[in-house]
Amino acid sequence: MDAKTLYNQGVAAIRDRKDKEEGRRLLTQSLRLDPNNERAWLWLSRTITDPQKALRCVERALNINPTNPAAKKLQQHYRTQLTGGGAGTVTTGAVSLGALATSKRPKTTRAEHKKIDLLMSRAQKLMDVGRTEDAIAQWVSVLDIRPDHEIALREAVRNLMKLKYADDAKELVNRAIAAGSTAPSIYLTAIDFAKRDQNPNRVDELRMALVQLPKADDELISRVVDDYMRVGDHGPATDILELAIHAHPESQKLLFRMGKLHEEMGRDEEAMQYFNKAAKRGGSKEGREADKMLQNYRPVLTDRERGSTSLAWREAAGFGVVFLMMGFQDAGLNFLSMGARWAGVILSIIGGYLIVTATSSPQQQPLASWLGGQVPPKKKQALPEEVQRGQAFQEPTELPILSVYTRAVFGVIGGVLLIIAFWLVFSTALGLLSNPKDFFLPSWDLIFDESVLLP
Amino acid sequence: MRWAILIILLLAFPAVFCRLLSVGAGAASGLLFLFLLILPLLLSALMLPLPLKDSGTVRYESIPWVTGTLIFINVMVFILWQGGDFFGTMTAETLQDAKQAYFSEVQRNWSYGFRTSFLREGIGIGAFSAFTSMFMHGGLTHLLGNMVYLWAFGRRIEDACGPWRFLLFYLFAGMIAGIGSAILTPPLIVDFPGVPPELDIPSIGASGAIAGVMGAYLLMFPGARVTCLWGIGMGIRLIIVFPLKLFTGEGTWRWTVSIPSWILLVFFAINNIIPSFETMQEESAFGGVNTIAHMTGFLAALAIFLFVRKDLLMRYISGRRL
Repeated sequence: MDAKTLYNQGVAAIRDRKDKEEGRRLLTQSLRLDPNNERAWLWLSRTITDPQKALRCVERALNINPTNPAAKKLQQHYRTQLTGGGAGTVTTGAVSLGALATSKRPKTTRAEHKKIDLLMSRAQKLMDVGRTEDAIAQWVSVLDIRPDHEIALREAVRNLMKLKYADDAKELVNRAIAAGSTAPSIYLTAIDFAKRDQNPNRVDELRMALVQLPKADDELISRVVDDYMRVGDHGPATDILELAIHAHPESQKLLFRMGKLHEEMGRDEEAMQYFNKAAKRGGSKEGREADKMLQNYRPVLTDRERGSTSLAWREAAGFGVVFLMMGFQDAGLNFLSMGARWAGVILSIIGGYLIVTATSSPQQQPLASWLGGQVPPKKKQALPEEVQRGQAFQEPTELPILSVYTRAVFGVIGGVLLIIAFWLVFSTALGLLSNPKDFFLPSWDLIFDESVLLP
Repeated sequence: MRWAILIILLLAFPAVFCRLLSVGAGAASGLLFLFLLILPLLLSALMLPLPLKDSGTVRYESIPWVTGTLIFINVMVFILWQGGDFFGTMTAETLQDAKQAYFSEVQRNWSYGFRTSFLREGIGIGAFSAFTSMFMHGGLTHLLGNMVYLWAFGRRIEDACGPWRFLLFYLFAGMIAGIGSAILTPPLIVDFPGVPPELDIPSIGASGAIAGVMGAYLLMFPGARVTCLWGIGMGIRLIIVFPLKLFTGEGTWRWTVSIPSWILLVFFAINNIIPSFETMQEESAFGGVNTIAHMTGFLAALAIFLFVRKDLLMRYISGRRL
């Protein structure tokens, strides 16, 4: 018989003959053939005495047609029965987030444990002999006792899907979530169902619930974020990660992921903060990666800085002060006695400038232009070694740069000048190497004479 | 260049090991030795924070080559050059041997330490003593304490300057510390035949240069937090964390405290500036810690702006985050 005939016969059995058993049997068969008959689900709910099971049937009808007024009334009716008239948990569709937040389901009693074990064992035996539907019934019975029993749920869902009873499977999953399950696998399955139903709001709700689960590991959360990133949804990805970080504040992987997310969105300040947090928490791989990423946030050289002659001379002045102090010491701590050492200081500044020009300031203007420098070609994509060195985010330059040969010549001349400068500023000390002079050293008697204790 | 340094480090370690073994440190005495080495440092950390590392902010390079090399050189100089006499005084079998080792150590310090007479009179090794003294230390605790500070602060300054400029700054700070000490420390007045009446006591150690590095750090990163070992800080934490954990179950215990770098400046100032002024006011100095060198080396930090990278300097000037 076809689904419609079975449905009509089932309704007739219930309405005309008040035979709920017969009606249930016929409607179940009808729904196997046509699971999208919302009216059949509603009629089926009337044949079930257990309000929880009845509610499931009503919710199946609502899944098919969320605007069905009769279904809504029945849903309210059964919910009231279940919660004893209280507010209970808030559900959206079949996802009970309230139950998740304060998941304190009643403990399974010892008797229930025993029954569950028995049912699971029966189910296994039935599967071994190929009686899948009967095995499913056993698992469903387990789930009636404990809706979030992970193994029973997994097996039931898997086998229901094999038999193409997707809606039944979905129903079981939703029931587990409503019961306050904290198993990530259940949520993942629910998400798959929601995607199949093309219900993006529900997908988002489930994902948000998933990432807050205590058992949700970093890998899983990253995959959820990747799902959003694949379609370019940065906003929800950020929300998800924020929730996840709130639930798992010590996770370096999540902090690093958030940093990467902000970096992709061009939010450098936020990215740096998260990389900092990830790097601070210890020596894991993500911590080291975060540390490396921080290198990319070094101050970026602008053309103004690259082309600045004064900044180059500043660095040369650094050489100058070092040689000045050397000369000052060599001259016996007397500036007036420095004499030729001043020439050494000046040479050190010039030599230092040449070396600075050759190494860190080869784009000084107008020097680089005068000496025939060329503007370096623009790079399309940073090479891995440049990312490694933290040079990936350099501002592109429009300034000409001295050629390698010019820089080499500058470097060599600068080095020679520094050597000469050193010879000039350290003339006395260098002279002492070849012509040493006597100086006071404590003698043995002086050190060990108790009347004079020298340090 | 980096590979060359790494190879040198790897080749030098066997030499260090053999040296330590050759002075007869057995396993048990070796452990006791290490404990005694670290103990003074830990004891000083009860009152004053001992910086271990800093946290956060931007980094340029992940491997502080020059800081590591400076530490390595300091350690090598002590172990391979000074260590024989230093350990000799502790492990000598007779008093005469101990005296001989001590005498040798004193001779070395007076020959290569920083002495005002070397500069003013152009004798000894002259101005080279400014550099030789920077790599010598008076004992293992002296060495360890300095190297801890260098490691804690030097890496960030090397980041900010680049390796070669950091080396220049380090040498500059050391020179300034020596010059300041030479000018401001009164000589030791001695009335003994054969001894100059105003005797300059040699100064050794990297403290002056490291004070400069520390000063540069505080100047560049005043808001940075430094992870320190600090007895008083731990005591405060114990008072807060323990009851918190007892009553609420929250709060985590850590052996280190994170202090803003400007607080370390205050400790450094108290620890060095006041004794420096006391020394300067005395007519004669006897020796001990050269706090004047610390203070003047610290002031060398003002020159850091000649050595930092140009992009960091511009950010500093414009008030942007470093």
